[in-house]
Amino acid sequence: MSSPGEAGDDAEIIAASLRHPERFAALFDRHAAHIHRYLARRLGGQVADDLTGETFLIAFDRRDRYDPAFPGARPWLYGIATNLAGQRRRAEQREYRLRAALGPPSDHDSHADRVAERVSAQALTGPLAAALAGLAPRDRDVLLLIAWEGLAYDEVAAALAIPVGTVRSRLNRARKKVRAALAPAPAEEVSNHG
Amino acid sequence: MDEMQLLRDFAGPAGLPGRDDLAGARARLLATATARPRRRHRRALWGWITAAGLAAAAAAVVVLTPSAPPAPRAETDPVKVLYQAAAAARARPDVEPRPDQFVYTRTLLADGRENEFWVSADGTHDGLEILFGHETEVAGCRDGKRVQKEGRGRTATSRCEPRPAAHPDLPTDADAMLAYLHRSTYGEGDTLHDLGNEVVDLAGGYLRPAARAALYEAVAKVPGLILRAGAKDATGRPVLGITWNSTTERGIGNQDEFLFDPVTFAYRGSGTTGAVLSQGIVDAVRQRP
Repeated sequence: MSSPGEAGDDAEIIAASLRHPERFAALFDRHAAHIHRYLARRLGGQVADDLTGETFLIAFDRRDRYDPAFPGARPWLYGIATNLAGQRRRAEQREYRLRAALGPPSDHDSHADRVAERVSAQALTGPLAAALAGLAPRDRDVLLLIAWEGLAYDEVAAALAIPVGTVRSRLNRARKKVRAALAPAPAEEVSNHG
Repeated sequence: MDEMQLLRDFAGPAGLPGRDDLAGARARLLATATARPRRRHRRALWGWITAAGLAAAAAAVVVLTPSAPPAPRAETDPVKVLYQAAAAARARPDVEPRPDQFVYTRTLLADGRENEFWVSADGTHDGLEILFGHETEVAGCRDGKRVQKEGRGRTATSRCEPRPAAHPDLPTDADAMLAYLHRSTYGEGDTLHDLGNEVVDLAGGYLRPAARAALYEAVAKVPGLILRAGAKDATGRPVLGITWNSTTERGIGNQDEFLFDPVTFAYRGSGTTGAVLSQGIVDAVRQRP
């Protein structure tokens, strides 16, 4: 037999890993960075370090349940990571408060500094953090997978095992709430612009 | 104001972590992948106590495997199949292994490999798995502690609750069972997809007749059931396959298919975890019925 999984799509890697568990590492190499970034955005870097590993251990554990009709496994991994994030609500709220206070963490990317500057300048990080923290967890999951991770509606549906229609309605509800939280109150409007 | 753009700004830089940042997690994954099979497999595959098993229940070794079915008859309604399976389950004698015994199962996967499991009836005795050719002793949970061998003479001690091969306290009516399935007992979540995983785990498990009947009747309440008549399991036996679409369009949510004998409605395994070849209650690990 040839050795499937050394190349090929995620589904092939997962199938091969049933017989050769070590092949699952290839899945890690493809997707761990994105999963880590997602978890770090929600929970901070330290928690992300732990939960990235946990995400892949759970995925490994459940690989016999993976539906081979999906060539790409990233939505599946996002789904597992999202469940784990859901168990760390306190860390998530703390991370948002931190971001509100300090701005998003910057790295060597100069774009980041610009972004941080802009966001702080708009003085909206506080309300934004509060709005995010105040969303229903299910709505927040959908919002962040789309706004931060750039998943398509059907990928979010696959990740969270919900219908695409539900993705849309949760996203709409979340956006509306965030907009409402960011809209300046009438009194402020007067003092700012009047 | 574009709140999506604000959100993206709030997320911070788009840079990805480097290999070094991920090395620890990768090493942990590889160590696990190549060492011990993880917990979930242990819950995977328990089967069916037959009437034939009852007579021999007092003996040291009880054969539980259902006998080969005659030709299948056509059935098209998944709810009907589940109710028939529930009725058949309820008609079975109630056999309980002794606490110090083991439930043995041998399964066949579609690719031809076989796995074997010995699971402690009360969860406190050391069981054994031969999974994909690797032998692993599964430490029992005693006094709230599990001391698991990790290879190279190392052990890992963890707090635990015993996981008996038999589930003595499961609900025995459909509504209570459905509520139980929704309760996320093992922290697996509450989506229809999670529920499906739980069902397949339980259906493959050792259940008392009333609980098994309740499980099938609970599944019958799930919308969108699909029956695949004329299916074959990994051994080529004809089976009735029941599954449902847990509603994601492209199907990660598609449930595993669980398989019933078309005549006796006995549980035959599942689409991905494999066909139950042989099952029984034995007195010790490595003993086969």
